[in-house]
Amino acid sequence: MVISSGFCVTAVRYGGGVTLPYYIRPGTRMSSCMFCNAAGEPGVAMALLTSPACRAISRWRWLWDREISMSGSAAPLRGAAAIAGVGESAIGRVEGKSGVRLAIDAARAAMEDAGLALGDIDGLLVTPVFVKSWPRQANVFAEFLGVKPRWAMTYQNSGASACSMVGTAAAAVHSGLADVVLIATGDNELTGLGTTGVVTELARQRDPDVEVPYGLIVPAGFAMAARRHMHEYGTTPEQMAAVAVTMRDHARRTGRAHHAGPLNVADVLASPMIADPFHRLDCSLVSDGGGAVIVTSLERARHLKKSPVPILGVGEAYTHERLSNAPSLTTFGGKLSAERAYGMAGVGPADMQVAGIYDCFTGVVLIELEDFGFCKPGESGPFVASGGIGVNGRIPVNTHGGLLSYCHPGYPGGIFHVIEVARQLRGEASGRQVKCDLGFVNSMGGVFATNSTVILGTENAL
Amino acid sequence: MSKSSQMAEGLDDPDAAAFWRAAAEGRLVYSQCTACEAKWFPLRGVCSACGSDCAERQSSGRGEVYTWSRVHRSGETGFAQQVPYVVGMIALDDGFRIMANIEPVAAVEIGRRCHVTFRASPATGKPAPLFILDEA
Ligand SMILES: [Zn+2]
Repeated sequence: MVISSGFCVTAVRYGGGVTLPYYIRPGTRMSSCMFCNAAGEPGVAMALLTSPACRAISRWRWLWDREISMSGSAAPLRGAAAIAGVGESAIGRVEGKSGVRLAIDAARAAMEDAGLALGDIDGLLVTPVFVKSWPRQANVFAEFLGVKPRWAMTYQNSGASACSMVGTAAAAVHSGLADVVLIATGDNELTGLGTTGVVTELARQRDPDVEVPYGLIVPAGFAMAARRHMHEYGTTPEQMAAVAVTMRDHARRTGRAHHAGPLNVADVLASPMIADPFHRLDCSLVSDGGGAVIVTSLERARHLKKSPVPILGVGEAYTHERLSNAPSLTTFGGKLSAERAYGMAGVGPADMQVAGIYDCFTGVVLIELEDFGFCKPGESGPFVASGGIGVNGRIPVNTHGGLLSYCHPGYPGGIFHVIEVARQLRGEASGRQVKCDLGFVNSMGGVFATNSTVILGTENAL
Repeated sequence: MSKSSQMAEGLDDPDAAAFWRAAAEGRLVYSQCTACEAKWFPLRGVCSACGSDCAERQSSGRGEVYTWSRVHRSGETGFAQQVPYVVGMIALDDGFRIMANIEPVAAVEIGRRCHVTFRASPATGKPAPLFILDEA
């Protein structure tokens, strides 16, 4: 609960206190409502109201300078850094290029996009290459690309790496570890391992004592969650198929997606069963490809080639590793991760105008839509079936076509969601452009095990 | 044999080794905290809630199906000859959940009562839990 007379009636009325975000210390003295800035009696923050129902949330601004710096807490990350450049390699089936090479192609595209040269890059975040793992992957990449960073890290947070890296890059820039951080990812899973090879390798990497002995392929892990969602809420295979159909529609608009043939619900349901209730077309692709994002300070980004995309909020959450120890199978850590990012950005799900959601399987998107606050629990099936996540829907999701149709090279997969939302916010999503100043991106790894979220915006959203 | 399936024998992990030794004797074991009585699976020496020592307990092996998936394409996981097989989650009466195969594959439903037996895992070759549905 908020223990303060310093909060406006609006905020208190929409109560339901949750824990204080990590960047505000309990006991911080506040003299205005954290939500809407209404003046009040000075009080002490014990917890923060983050009910998405509070319409005031989108309008409040933190009184950072006056309140937080006085209290001695860390200065806020909100709006400190921005995405200044994005780039992709060739995607889909790309013959003759290693994972590192695909990452280099993407990195060069991102530098060109930002108007930056190799010598400007002084921070580096790189995902491991799944097909050919190198020790010290970030350093290997640095040598091949030709940069000599003063801060570098190989980032292994599985599917959650993309948003985790954006948040970490923002923190690195904000803290002074680096001025310009290049996030570079690439893998050649399709030509290097093939679909069966990827399924096999991912299965071998599950828990050796708790999951491997029972033939847990990754699709089956996610299928178990989808099965629970069907059981508890009456969700149907047709509703899940609608996610795949929507992603394909979006992919077709990009002109460069890995899979861009026409697709309808009957096609999905007629495709071979992989792990019941998931058919082949409920499962994401196995692709080759690389994606890169450049993060620098908002101030520096303002002087580069493209409009800055400020990073307004970041959050992560970790609740389990083995699926049998997940607290629930119909709601996961992504809910917490999103709440943390919303909290930092000072927004809620109702404010989001475009979203990138980790769509490794159709049924996963349904659960995530609920966890991120875009639907109430149990309502995601009808929501997607009625067009809620289409380009013209309430919350356009993965307007590039996502992991299901655009590109899924493994660890790099989530970076394409970040890139697409950044392009939307810059107004560069030709053929699928959404009117937007605020965007949501979530990445997820393991079976709902690692979760990370970023909230991006335009200058208007600062 | 791949590195991961060698690990599945519990060669590098004393807690895992204890589980597989019990499985070879036809016993399903879990951990219980000696202080706060919290139950844990897989086995662990230290309670994940309070940090006290845990002791090994033997499960009744009885429970109900919590969720499941029937797998039709297995990759090269050792299960190629088993498809379609069911991998699922069982909520044990003892108060913990476990992932395992469930048979008969055509009859699995959420909520069905089941009990543990042991058979050689197609992935590792070592005796591993297999849950059989009780008579309907
Ligand atoms: Zn304990």
